[in-house]
Amino acid sequence: MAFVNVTARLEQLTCPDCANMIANVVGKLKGVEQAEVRYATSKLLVRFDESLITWEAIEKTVAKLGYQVRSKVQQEG
Amino acid sequence: MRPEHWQLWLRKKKKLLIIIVSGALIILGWLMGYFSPLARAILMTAAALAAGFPIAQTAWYALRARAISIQLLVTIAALGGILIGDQWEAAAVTFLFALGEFLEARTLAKTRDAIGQLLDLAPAAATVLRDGQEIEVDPSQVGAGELVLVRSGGKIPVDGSVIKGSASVNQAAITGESIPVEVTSGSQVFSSSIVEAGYLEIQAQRVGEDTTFARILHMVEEAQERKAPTQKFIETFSRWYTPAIIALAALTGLFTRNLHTALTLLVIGCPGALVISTPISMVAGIGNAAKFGVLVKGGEFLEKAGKVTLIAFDKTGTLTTGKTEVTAITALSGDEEEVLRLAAAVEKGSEHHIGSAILGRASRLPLPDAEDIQVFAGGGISGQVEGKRILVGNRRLLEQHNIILPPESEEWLTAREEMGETPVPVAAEGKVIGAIAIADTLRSEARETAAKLQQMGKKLVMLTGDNPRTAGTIARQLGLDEFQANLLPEDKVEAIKSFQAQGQIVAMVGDGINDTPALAAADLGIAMGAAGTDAAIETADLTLMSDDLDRLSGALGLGRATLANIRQNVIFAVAVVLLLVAGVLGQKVFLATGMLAHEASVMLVILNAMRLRAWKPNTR
Repeated sequence: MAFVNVTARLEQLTCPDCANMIANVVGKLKGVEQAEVRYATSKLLVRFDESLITWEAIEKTVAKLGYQVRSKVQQEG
Repeated sequence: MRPEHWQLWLRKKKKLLIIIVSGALIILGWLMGYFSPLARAILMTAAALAAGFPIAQTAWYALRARAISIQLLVTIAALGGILIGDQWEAAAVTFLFALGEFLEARTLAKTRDAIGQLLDLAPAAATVLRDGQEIEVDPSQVGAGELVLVRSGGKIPVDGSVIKGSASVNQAAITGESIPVEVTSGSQVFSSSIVEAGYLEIQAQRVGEDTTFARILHMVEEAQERKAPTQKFIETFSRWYTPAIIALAALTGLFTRNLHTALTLLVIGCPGALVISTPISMVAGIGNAAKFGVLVKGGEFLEKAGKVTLIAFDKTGTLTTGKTEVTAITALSGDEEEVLRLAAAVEKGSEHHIGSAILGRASRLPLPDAEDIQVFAGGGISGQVEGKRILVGNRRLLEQHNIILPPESEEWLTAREEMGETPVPVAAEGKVIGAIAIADTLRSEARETAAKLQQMGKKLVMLTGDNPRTAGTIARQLGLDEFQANLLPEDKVEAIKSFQAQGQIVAMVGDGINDTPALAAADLGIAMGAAGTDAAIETADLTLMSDDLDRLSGALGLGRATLANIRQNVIFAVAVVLLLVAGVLGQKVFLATGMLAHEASVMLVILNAMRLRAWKPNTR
């Protein structure tokens, strides 16, 4: 178990529903323990197990939903 | 450009390119339509596919995670449009959706860039003195206690105290006040302030994420995320509205066989303007407030700031500067220095403003040590000095200790009180030996602010622990509506509760240190001059970072403007929802017009919220 917390700034979200949708989809990925998308600041906060899923895979999923990741901060634990 | 650059550029501009291609195909389709209906149908389908593909992709991935998205509704509407032979409407729906998203994202980013503007104020580098060498490091790499050098034009990279040098410093990043302040050794300075002229050596106390500035940024972000009650209500509404519209669309399609109407219902299935109506105004309002030195804990407090009907003020440090001075001393024995010396000995450990005034006056006297110090909140202080029990406090404290105030002292006290000063009797061994009068200057802007607030229809009340005569003089000078004196901290809480019981929405303004319970009891707790005092920022719902009372009318004005903005947005958005549903069911609105109205209403709501960004205090 190697949990990592990543806070990423996404490109501007236009509606709170899109934020919920992204959180929903990312949250259901295998290895993701928790995903939250904040509409007002367009931030994605995700906690995942690095042995099960990589950040790149999460980023790809978000991109498939039509949103680019602008920047990210990673924290262990 | 190298291929990878192209790729990056394409990915960045993908959304814009899709809109251009799709739009071009639609125009071409219209032109070709004069010659061949088939060419028109093909071109319109191509336009719908171009604009619709990313939408469908989002819808698909969301659906796989069992999430129903707006994109899904739009995809179904567009596919349906193509299938029932209305390619133009399908093209219009997808094109308008993509264009709307694109424009909205750009405008929204602007509405929210208050944080970006604040970030621009953050220092980029710090010059520290290590082993006698000046080196440049990242501001977060400065250690606490290290010596930081800042020259003219430089940005202060840490919170700390000035060890050497003097300068005029612009603290606008923290206080929103751009008139520079003079600092010299011993002064407290904050990260992100600019040294306009001079040179400073600063001992770092807080660096990186711990600086006041970093925490302001953090708080503004947190505040923007906090949901106001209105917003929660609207989100619940839209959670029911969308499925209801989908059900309505399904029923319409099944029973009336009117697929066109059914598909149009899907297009208006998300009350976009309504769901963003509140958060977008809040974000703009909170961001703007931060720019002029007002920190708001969350949208709900900005809403409350707009609704406040009564403002309760603490006196010392709020209506007055809090820089107290001894103005006169009287001694029954005639030895005024002795009265001062004994009083100062007891006050040595006190943090009260009366204590600091007495100590300030006694700074040249050698002070004996005091033992067994007792502090009476809202009363005074006592201690054992040179074998004598010394008591410094107000009338009530004397009464509690059964000390009688001789007539000549009483006379002196009354005279001082009528001048708006605060006289404190000093007693030794149960007998009054004299008194010290302390005065505090009214803030220069207090009168003007009070008048402004009254013009805004607010009732102004002063709550103070000071005596009624002093309080009355000050209340009259400022033209306040009411004052209550002789209050203990818990009495202030009671006073606020009784105002609330009368139906008033109460804001309490204090320095955030002595008034914590009152700030918490009020509907809106406002701390002022709070730069550097963490406790105040923690307790207060709204913090005026600068030591300027005038910000208060600005903050309340902004609250009112934000509230009005939200109301305009919500009323408009609800009207749009009702009109759209009525229009679709009444067969007046179809796919393209439905989408156009939807996107246009979202855009209007955003543009309206943007007006808050330009709102400035004093431009009521």
